[in-house]
Amino acid sequence: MHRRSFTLGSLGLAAGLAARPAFAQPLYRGPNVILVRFGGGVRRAETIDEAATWAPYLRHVLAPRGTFIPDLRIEQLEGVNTSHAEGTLNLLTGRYLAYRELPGVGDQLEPTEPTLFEYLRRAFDIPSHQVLLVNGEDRPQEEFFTFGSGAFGRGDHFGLDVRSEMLSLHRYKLYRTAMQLAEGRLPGDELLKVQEERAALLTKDPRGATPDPSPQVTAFWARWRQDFGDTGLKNPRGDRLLTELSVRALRELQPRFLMVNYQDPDYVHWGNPSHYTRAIAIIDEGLQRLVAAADADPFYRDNTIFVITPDCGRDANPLAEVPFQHHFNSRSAHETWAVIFGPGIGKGVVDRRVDQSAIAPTIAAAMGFAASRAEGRAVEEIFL
Amino acid sequence: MTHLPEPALSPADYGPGRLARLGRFLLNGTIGTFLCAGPVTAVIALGWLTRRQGHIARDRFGAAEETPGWLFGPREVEGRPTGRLARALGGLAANIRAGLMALTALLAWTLPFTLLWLGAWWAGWENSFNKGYEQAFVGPSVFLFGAMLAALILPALPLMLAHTATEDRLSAAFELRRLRGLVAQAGWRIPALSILTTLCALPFFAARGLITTAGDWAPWTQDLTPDEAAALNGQIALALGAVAFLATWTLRSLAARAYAFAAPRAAALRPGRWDGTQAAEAAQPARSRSRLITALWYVVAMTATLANAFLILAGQFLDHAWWRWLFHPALTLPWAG
Repeated sequence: MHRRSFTLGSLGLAAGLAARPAFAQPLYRGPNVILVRFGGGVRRAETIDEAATWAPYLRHVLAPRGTFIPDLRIEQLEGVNTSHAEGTLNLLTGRYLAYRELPGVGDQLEPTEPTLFEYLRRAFDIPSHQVLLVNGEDRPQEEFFTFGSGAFGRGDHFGLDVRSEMLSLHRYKLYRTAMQLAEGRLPGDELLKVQEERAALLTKDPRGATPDPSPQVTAFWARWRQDFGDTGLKNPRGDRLLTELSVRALRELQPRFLMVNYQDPDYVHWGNPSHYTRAIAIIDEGLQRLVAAADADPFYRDNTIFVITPDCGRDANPLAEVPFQHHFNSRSAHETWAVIFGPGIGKGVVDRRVDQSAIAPTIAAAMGFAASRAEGRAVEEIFL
Repeated sequence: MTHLPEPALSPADYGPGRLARLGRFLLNGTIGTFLCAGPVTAVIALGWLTRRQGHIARDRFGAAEETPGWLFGPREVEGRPTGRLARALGGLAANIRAGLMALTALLAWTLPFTLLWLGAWWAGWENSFNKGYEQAFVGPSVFLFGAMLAALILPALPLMLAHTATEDRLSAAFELRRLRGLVAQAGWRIPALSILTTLCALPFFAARGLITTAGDWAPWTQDLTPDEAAALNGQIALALGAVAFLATWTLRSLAARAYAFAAPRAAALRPGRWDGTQAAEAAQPARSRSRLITALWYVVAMTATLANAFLILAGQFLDHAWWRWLFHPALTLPWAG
């Protein structure tokens, strides 16, 4: 066995033992939940404004299908940054500032409080491949949201044993390079390139403790490779990739809890303004595919709650040529929204301000567990 | 243009007093500021600045003439009285003509690299958006190539403009051999003008930063109604118009002086090459400049120009607008967009 594999395996086993609950977990019988991060920082003006929306399916079809929360806010707290990783972890933990920067690498946060994945898998007997996080191609920093830092000594409810699994091109490349090296069919120079690529991929996880994927996820990647090959040029790119991964995951892995981290509106920190609106439209198309896939599948039909919400807002600067640039902590960057629909969810509009930290406990309440470390409280009025 | 007889008195004896000069400066500054607030009217300001630049150079060559005005034309041309329309609007027409001429010359010289920048920006982001990481090098490479081209062209631009303005014809902008002679004679003035141009680009870069971060240091801007925002945007355009006009005025005046120094010397060294030009009338004895020194000064100027390209690029990162690639005040129109 490779020394690194042995070390990782030992760490994983130790962490798993530390986090293993003392009692037998019940089977999960609640609704499936698909949490869609309408990510990359979007303004209300281009998403939920009835007349100006670039996401007409979201606004005109999905919002009336359940509860619409037009005034979701990120709390104005010292140290709270309205960025993607931070906003995503707010959604996943129900707390602010529940993360820390990984030492030695910039812009990579890991949760310091339990995530929804961990709460769910601790409460119920759900295999890891049915609790999934789908990430973008160029967001390696979001590879660390699957479990908290407690695996290394803090808390007893974190860890590898109750992690979610990850679907991303980063993970696929790890699978592909491992297979290519194992197959040994490549000529010398290409083999060297693959070895270097794999070494570079492995350095992107400085925790060094990410376990191998489950057999089910490995089989998922095998089918992906069969369809899209090794080049990386045949599969969809950008947020269309996330939709493809998610729809295939629904069909092949049947996750009970799936989080999709859309991200492409993020291009307009600096890029062409049209990329922002185009990216919103692409996410809207993705939502259509996801909802259609769920509605068509007996495993999901009438048994799936969708929660759609941005990670953060973005600027509303009337003086700039591009008024919706994405810098941090402007007032409108704190202003988001949420659309929640599915079985047990009422139809209507929540006409009060709701805090972003309420999303995690609301999902927990819908699935039948408690997000005990969350700061926010579930939005009770959405439930029938 | 009207050529008056040789003055019997020195300008100090018959010229306007300090107060009058200050009044004229303020009047010109005010008119120029308003004109530089918009892209179309900025062409008129560019024309006035071009005419004025030619006037400075010709004045130094000893050809006395009326100072260019904004609206009114001359009362007579070559001893013959002008018509009513020419008197009423001749100055404006001359400004428009000179502005279009200068803008055409500037665009001809700058489009080769500004179009590369524009294309690199759009194609680069488009490629990035579509996750074309395999071709990611194309956008930055094209931009860098454009920056190198800009570094090659921009140091010569002030003298090219001064030559065009002095000769008052578009074809002068493309007289490469005369431009080469000018660059050689101008010496340290070439990098000095480049550094000054880069310094003059700083306020526009700072303005982009201030506008982009307005929500942080002026949170009240987030509460503006559309009408209030439009009014504030108008004031910002006016302020930037003032900076653009004053910066261009300063640069063009200094470039005219540099030209007035270099052209007569270049003309003296190569009389045949400068036949028929204004500078030939004022040719002065000069010595050939070392090619090495000329090249060194030019390299210094190119370095300053790279800083200018960086400021323009960084400004686009702060707040992007496609036309700022083509019409940046440091490049072409005295309009800050």
